Amino acid sequence: MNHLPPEIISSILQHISEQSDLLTCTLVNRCIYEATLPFLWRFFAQGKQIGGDKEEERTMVSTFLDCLMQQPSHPIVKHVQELELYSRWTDNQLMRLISLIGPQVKNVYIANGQAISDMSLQPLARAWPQLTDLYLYSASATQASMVALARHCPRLRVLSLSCCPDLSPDTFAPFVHAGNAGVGVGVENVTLYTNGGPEPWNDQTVLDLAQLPLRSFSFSGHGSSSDIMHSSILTSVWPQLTHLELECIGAVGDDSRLIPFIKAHPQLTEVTLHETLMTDATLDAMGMYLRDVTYLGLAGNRHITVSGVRRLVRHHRHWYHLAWVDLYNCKLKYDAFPEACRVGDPNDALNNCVHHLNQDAIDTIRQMEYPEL
Amino acid sequence: MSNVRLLSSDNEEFVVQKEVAERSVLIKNMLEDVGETDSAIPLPNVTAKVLKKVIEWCDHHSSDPVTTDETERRTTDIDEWDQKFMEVDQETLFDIILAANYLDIKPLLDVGCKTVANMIKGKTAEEIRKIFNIVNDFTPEEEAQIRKENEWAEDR
Repeated sequence: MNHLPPEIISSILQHISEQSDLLTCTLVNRCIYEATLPFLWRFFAQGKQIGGDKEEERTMVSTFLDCLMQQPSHPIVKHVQELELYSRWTDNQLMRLISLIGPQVKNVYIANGQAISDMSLQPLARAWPQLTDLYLYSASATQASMVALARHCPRLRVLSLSCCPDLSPDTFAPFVHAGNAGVGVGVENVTLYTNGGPEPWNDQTVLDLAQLPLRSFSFSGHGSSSDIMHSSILTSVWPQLTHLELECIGAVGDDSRLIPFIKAHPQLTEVTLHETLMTDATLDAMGMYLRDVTYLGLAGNRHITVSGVRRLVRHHRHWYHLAWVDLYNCKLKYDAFPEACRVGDPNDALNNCVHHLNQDAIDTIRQMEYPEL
Repeated sequence: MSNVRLLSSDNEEFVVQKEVAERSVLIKNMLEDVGETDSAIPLPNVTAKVLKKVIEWCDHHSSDPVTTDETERRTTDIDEWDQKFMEVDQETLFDIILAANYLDIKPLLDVGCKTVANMIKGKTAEEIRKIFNIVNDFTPEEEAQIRKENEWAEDR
């Protein structure tokens, strides 16, 4: 093994995924130590177990930063590509981190961004040009951050913005412009969650989104302004879409909007449509137009029936990979749908609603004979 | 089906079906570059003993589909025939890996590397050194330093 070139040792190590095995490898000898570091430190999560104690979180972030600044500098500085930050970081702390860690960072996940703003997000975009995935929760990012990301991070594919209250309706415009100018591969995966906060989306936002080559789109709105499905333009865009998640889209989520959308997106494999006004007609359309669904999230759809769900599952045996159908809060009675699964105490008289279909339930439905179908 | 002649580093000649030889991207490219040729292709980095093994593997896998799927390549499952094929002494195992690398036969390189990775899994550092005859070149201070810097990795 001593005579193997470093690239072969790396090829061997890429087949080792257990952290404990990688840790052991660092102690074998100098050559294997060097080869192991990029694998051991490719991914780093900070402060995952920390609860709500802010003082403790602050100390933890400082300790982390002090540790990185030691001489010789810690290996994560050179090797980390995926970074998950769970503590409540401030702009100053994040800027220090950016100045320490090299430009190889690809994925960044910021879970508690309440104290993060353009002041550190703009330098982040400049310092980490290889960025492909960015997840921001509760950050005070404005349009300036979006402009910087579109300009400096041409490989950005995944942009997840949850509860970021200062975004503008033009959030996606810089990415559209970058795409039109031939800069970058285009954002393919967008998540927008407002969860009760302000909703800056308008018709222009939808028009911008429509120009991105999306494969995955997740949207959760709140109240009447969630008109993301309102625009008929959406039925003619994103032919490659495989993942769709729409929550709380309100009255626009009826059969007349959903069926044309489904018909136009036959590549969909994971579909979540929560609390819409869909009826069995939408389920039938899914069966007719979608080729290979693996997951269906139908929670809170009060207008679908047991027959409709059975028909969909039974008649579409070519959905070989269908593994789960979420039916929480659809008010489907377990008495009428005993093949399905419920959770909680089965003896509780109030617990008479279906919760989901798992693989076993799906198989059972496919084997049974139903007089009404 | 046309044949190709391959010449090992120790001057032994092997006649192989073109389709089998072309599992090697290096040979495939060479054949494309020179076109039809009667002369043997010299492989100065591979001995006859190892080349024989490599040809045996290529012959068995000659009709495999070409997979570029990273995740499929990364799984550590090795099929039964390959497991048997890799039951060789350590020196030969490393020679096959080096030959697969030189000849650019990715699936064979993967099988070899997975075999070595499986020998590492679940072992202690001392056990790994013993299996592969590796000398520990760390001072006790360096070892302590490495344990300290990687402390973070333990509870991730």
